[in-house]
Amino acid sequence: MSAALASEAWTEAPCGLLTLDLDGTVLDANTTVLGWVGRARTDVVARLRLSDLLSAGGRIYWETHLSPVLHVDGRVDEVAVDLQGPGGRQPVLLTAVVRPREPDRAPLVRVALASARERWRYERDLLAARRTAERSAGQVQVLQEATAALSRALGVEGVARAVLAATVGPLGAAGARLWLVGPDGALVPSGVAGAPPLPSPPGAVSVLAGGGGDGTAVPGPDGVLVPLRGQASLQGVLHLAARSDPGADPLDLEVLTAVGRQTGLALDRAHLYEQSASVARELQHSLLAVDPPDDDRFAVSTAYRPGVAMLEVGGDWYDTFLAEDGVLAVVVGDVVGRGLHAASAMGQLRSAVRAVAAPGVGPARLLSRLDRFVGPIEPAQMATVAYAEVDLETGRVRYACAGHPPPVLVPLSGEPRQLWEGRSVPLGAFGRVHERPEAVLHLAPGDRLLLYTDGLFERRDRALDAGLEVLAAAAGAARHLPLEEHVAALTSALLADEQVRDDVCVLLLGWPGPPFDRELSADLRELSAVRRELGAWLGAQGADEDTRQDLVLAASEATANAAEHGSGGRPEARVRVRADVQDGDVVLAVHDDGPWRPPVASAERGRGLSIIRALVGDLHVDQGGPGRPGTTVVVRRRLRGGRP
Amino acid sequence: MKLEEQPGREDGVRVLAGRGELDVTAVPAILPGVSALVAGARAVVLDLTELEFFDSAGVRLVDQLARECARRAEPFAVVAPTGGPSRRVLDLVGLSEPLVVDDLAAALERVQRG
Repeated sequence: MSAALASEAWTEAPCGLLTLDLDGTVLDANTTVLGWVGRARTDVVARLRLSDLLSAGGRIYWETHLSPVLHVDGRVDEVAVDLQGPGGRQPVLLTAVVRPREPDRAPLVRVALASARERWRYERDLLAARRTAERSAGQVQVLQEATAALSRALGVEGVARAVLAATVGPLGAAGARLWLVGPDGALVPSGVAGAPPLPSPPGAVSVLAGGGGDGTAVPGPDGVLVPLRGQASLQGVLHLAARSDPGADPLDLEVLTAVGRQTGLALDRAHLYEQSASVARELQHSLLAVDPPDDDRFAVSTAYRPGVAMLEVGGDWYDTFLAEDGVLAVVVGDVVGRGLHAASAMGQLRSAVRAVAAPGVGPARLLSRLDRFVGPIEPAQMATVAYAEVDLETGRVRYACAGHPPPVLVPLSGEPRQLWEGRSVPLGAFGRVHERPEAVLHLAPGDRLLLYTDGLFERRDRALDAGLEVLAAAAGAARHLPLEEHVAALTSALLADEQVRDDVCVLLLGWPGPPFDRELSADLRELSAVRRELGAWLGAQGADEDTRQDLVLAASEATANAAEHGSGGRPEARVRVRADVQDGDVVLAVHDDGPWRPPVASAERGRGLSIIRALVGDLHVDQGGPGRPGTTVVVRRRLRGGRP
Repeated sequence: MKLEEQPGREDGVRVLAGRGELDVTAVPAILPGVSALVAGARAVVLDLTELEFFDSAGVRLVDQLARECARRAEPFAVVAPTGGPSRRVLDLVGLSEPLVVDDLAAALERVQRG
């Protein structure tokens, strides 16, 4: 290489080259260096030291670190320093070596500076990218927390609670005010959290939130307004107040936009959910709301309590219908599962029971036929059923249970008894028997039969047997109450102690027995016995104590009257006392064969009649007619409800 | 059914206690003896606390006893606890107001006051 070429290479090298004195004075610099520092050669050479060309930080670094190392080690390699130039700093990598000159001259320092601007920019970008990544990881976490809370929320109220909790939680707001779109389309205040922003008129909120247009969070008075947009329309607006304490991160519009979007969708889902839950509830309600047959020979009281998550509908049901003339069917069943599927399976099964029940079928064969019915209906498989048929004339009961808890007999007097006979596996169970068993039971007038689902007595902290005993004891303790109060006392006694997770069905059947019908001779020897029998009969009908006393007294007075005026001096004359229940009234009829005579002959008879009238309010004298000899005194009074 | 005189009283008050059922089958047998039941007493109390049944025939007996005592100028009171079978009927026929009290102590106080 010629000397000229070498000189040119030195001068125009694409890196900065310098020659320094040992004390750092610049002896020569090539054009690249001079370009970087923006100075003329004459201003630099022999006038400045390298440290004068460096940034303040670089100068200190050079003087305290690099220069000593250079003196000791004779070189430094690839040290990052900044030159101070007219356009700002020029980052360079500095390599320097000490080279001895000719023996008679002091050593020189050769310095090469490679530009590090591109690398520096890259590193800066890298750092920025890392910060961005860290920030978005934080955003993602906030979003995840908020989304998780929203997805756990049940119903619109649950979503509202979740999003309000998130605002003062992961979203880092001082507080928030939630507006939800009401049925009429206007925004309705729907809750606050923390220290909420001052309330604005709903119209203003709507406008400020941009009408929910593109769903973007926008700065608003006192904080940020976040539209909550669902799939089709605006569901609400969240108004957040920013925290004012030092060091608080500003509200992140991007995150809030995303959370707003999630909340809008969650509200969509919540509306749908509530709608379908209410469809299921409606369905169940309509299935359970069928009135029992209108017949005074029995009384039925029922209760249904939904489980703790009231949006969840279960598959419990009860039913009463006439299986044949004079034979009442009572059913309580439990379909596995919850929700619309369980409710509709319950509806099918309930209809199937009614369809299958017919004269001559009976409980055992009915359950066997239901086995075939549930075969293809998956939600109905493993349903449990308690089914009983009651002969309303005699009180004879045939019953059978498919995997269902045992019914309880609650006698008018004596201890309650669990009915463990007539049991077989749940409907459609694998390995079911061909012949299901059934059992027979005889009700006495006033006895009650209790059917229920397992939610009534099953508790996680109690053995099943213990639960059944508690149930039987509670049923017995309330047996003197009227039927409806008996059911209410039973459910409150058993369900008061905890939130009921499962739904609960209760059906209580009362059988009052046949009407009262007794004849006695006009000498009234049997009057005392008839009073006792009538009192017991009224008790079996469920009459309250006042009504029982008053009607026995009325019957006694009427019978005494009838014996006195009807006998006409014939010792063989008879008086007939009859009573039955019609539409909740006791109708008492006392009949004799004599013609009616107004009560003038005897003050006592008159007093008897006025007592009857005062006791019952409704007194009617049937004076007979052609082909209908004799006189009948008919009184009528409510079975329950106290004195008129 | 009969009326039994409470024995051992030294204050001259005759306490007649009714038990069982005072009805149309029992009262006619008692009525002829009403005069003897109250004769010679300083005052008379009819105690129906233990009664199981009471009807218009019983009302007639109370009425007769009250008349007989008035004729003899003997103070007369009836014990018929509220809620019991006799009180209900006596209330209905309007006899409670002048005659009936809730317990024996009140009855004795009333008849002794004159």
